[in-house]
Amino acid sequence: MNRYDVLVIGGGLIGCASACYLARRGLRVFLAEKNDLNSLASGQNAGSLHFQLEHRLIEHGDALAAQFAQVLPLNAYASRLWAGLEEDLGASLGVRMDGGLMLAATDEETELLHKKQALESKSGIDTRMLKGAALRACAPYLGEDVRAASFLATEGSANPRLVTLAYARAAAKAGAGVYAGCEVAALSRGGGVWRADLIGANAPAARICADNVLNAAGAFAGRAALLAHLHLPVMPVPLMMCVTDRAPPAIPHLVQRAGARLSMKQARDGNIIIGGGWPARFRTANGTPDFSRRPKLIHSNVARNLALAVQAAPLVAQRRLLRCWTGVVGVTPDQLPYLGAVSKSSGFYAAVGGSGFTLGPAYASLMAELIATGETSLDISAYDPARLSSVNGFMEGAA
Amino acid sequence: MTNEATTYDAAIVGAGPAGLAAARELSSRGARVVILDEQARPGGQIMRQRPAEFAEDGWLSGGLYRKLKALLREVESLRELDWSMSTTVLGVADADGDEGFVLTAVRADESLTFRAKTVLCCNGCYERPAVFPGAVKPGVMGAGAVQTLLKSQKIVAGDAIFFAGAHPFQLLVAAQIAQAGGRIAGVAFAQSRLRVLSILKEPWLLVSHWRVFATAFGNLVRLRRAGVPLYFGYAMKEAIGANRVETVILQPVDSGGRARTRAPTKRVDADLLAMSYAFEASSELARQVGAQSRWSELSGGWVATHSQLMESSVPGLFVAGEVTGVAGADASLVEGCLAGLGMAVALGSIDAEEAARCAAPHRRRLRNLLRFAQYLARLAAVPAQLFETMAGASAVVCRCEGVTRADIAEALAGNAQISTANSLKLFTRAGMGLCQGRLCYANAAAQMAAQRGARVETLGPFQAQWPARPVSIASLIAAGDEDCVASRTTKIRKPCR
Amino acid sequence: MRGKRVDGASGRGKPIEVRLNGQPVEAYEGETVLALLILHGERAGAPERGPFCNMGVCHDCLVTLSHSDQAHPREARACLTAATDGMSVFIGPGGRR
Ligand SMILES: Cc1cc2nc3c(=O)[nH]c(=O)nc-3n(C[C@H](O)[C@H](O)[C@H](O)COP(=O)(O)OP(=O)(O)OC[C@H]3O[C@@H](n4cnc5c(N)ncnc54)[C@H](O)[C@@H]3O)c2cc1C
Ligand code: FES
Repeated sequence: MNRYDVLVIGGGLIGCASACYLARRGLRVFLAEKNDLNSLASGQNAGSLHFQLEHRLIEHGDALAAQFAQVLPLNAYASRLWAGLEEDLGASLGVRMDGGLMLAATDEETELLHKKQALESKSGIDTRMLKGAALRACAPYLGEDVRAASFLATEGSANPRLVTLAYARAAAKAGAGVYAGCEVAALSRGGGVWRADLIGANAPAARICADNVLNAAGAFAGRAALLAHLHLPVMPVPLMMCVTDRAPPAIPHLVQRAGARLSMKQARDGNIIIGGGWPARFRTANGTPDFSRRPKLIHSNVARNLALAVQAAPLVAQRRLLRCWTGVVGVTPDQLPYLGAVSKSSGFYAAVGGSGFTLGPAYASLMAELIATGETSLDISAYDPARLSSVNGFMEGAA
Repeated sequence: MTNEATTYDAAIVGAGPAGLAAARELSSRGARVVILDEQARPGGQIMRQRPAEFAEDGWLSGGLYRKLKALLREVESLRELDWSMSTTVLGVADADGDEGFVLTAVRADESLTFRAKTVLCCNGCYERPAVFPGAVKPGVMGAGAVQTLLKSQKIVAGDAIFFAGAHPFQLLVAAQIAQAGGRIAGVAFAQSRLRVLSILKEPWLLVSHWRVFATAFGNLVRLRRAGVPLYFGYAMKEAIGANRVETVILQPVDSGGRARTRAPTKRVDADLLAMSYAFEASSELARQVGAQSRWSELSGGWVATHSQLMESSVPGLFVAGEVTGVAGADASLVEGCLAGLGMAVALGSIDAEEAARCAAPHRRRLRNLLRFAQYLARLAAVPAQLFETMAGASAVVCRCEGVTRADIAEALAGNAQISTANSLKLFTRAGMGLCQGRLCYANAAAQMAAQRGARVETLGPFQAQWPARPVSIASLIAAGDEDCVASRTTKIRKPCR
Repeated sequence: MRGKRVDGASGRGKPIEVRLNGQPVEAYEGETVLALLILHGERAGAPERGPFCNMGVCHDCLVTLSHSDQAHPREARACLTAATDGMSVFIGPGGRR
């Protein structure tokens, strides 16, 4: 009875979307989420759909930038998915793809934009440089410090509050069992199947069996992998976000900065959402970071983040800051996602890391394809967790 | 007077009875204390002072206020106390690495930072609006708002004022308005007359709280004499009018708060509807620092938990007054005294034994006061089905974002996995507006509990986030110019008289 | 006028000049902007709602204030703001939303 094709660990965007696509392929899916669905990074993120290379990916020099350019094909794939997602899921998700601007306010930043554009054009991502009157005409809200910007028409934003739950509804509709308040406490393997021990208020059974496990546990994917005696180095990084009160529509674009940490967009409801990767701070318990509590806000970072937003769009100074929140994102050592089998022989997969909101639907769609058919229509070898085989070669077979 | 980078022994947020009592206790023991409050003058809600430019004649006359006023005047005259009035506290956080806390605040669009070894959150409570058609219309206010406009501004806020609620507090306000020459269009209680009068059947309470009862009884008599219609067993059905309230429609209800559909509704013309159904503890500032809270159905929702000397679950962070449960001004005052002692212990100015000795009479008095408060809370408890009865499907639950009962019902029905109040907020936007969920939490959570068949305490509060009030971005940026939260020069004033 | 000043002008501060949506209104030192809104039957911030709390919580009393000696108009909660001589109070469009 309690036998499934796939156990998905984690009810964030990637887990719920994977459950949806797997179930639509006819697989029997069990999704276990220990808290509420969408309660961590998937519901806490900025909601940017960014397909240009991000600031954090280009600031470390040419060689690294070229390596990071490997994510670009995935970006193109994700961009196509997002464009049809509201229709596919039959729900309003606040998707808005009216274009994105990456701003330059210094000569160095302008140069960075040119380099970035060269990398992007190789992968078929069609960014356009805007300056002077053309820039002002495209984005009259920009401040006078902004000298140039690269524009990509497919960028934009979606509403993180809505997307995960829409996927969860679609997954349930396609026959997946989606359980919030249900934690995978232990994994063991025998007779070619995984056995998962479940705890939590809503766990429907104490134990289920599954042929495959998909680790979609986000910042906590490292721990989930250890349940299967595998290593998956994922570092939790605490970040903060700001949101203003509702403003009249003024900023149709996703706005980022080439040489500084800024992302900004206006939601359909009018609120302006400001972030860009400013850190928060982990709370500590007995001297070590306590990942179970919400990270603590660093006020000076709020002020710096807001100052960048005002520099980009001076109208922000007239708004009120309504709320700040912190969240935890899982980062891989090379900033590339893990997408594929961690252990090929045992059916343990991972979909973790990278820009998980923008790329989450793409990860999920590709992983469903991989688990169901054994191959993918897009080459994802660059993200293969096999790059960890130097350690997992030792671990394999221990579960 | 300016003082730069002072680390206070104690920062007190809220200059009501609790805060004033704690300040007196601490100053008498030589502590460096700063009091912060959003109002221009100290006193809290119960003693909302007249502006300094007004004459004080007749302000809060009457025996009920005598002791409180004495406390206020005494603390106002303490020379060694620092005041930061008209100051909105945005957050309290433990100071990383350093001992104590950092408070972020704004005053007249200027960002401020305070440091303190201990903090007392005694920032009171607010009124819970009821949800019914027309409840957000201009001309519908909290009874407390109508009262503070009278107390402090000497303004009768309407030409014909109707009161509706379940709390005896509305009798007091109605009587005060009538005495000031305002016209009361009527007072409606959801409870039966018998239940409201059952207060008289508790002799031990009558004796220990004769003054309150004398006042309440006097109010009833006074309103009756003035020919004010009193309705018992009636709830709000609708407030109607073109641009603002013109008429209120009342629904007869039974003792459980269910509609008596065969009894006729009543219509009363009024241009101001003052409602008084319940109060909610303002525990969000304490919760922001991580203080634990518990659910209390009758005394204000999520209330902060504390030790005998009012220390919260966060060492050094104290709580007192309505933040720990809505129990009235006298109980708040006593809790303030206890918190003052607890903070003195934390600061090392007295030892635990002396504190316990000093606390003993306060604790006895508090027990007595809390017993009365509980009794009153049961009496004033909104009948079980009342909120459900009043709320039509299209009635607005979240004022700021315009989220209706129907929106919430639909979100819950369509998303079986939504299991916390926070998730509901994220999905529906209820609680995401300028009041930051203060005015909709109780109603949204109650609806969710009913629909899910769950108890409210299992749904959790809305996450308490920084800033505790929306704040001008321009003022935050100006503060950020100086690297990090460098202690800014802070102008501290004596209270203006 | 809606509602009234108890004892009229007596016991209040000096008369001051305040404009409400461009119109001069009777006002005295110490009066809050909310008190003036109420006396003149005006709503505040959101068109469909009225001020509820008079204690800084609901934010349904937001107004835009300008003053001859200030460079920029600013938004404020009427209930926490004292009217001052020469103040102009704006409600509705130009204020919020
Ligand atoms: C509108 C209203 C009317 C009431 N009328 C009566 C009455 O007539 N009789 C009676 O017995 N009880 C009344 N009560 C209850 C009474 O107010 C309390 O019993 C008593 O005041 C509690 O004392 P306190 O010190 O805990 O809180 P309060 O007196 O409420 O003091 C808290 C103070 O904190 C300030 N504050 C809150 N948040 C912040 C922030 N973020 N930054 C800075 N300052 C902040 C507030 O402005 C307030 O001045 C009323 C309550 C309300 C809400
Ligand atoms: S009336 Fe509620 S904030 Fe001013």
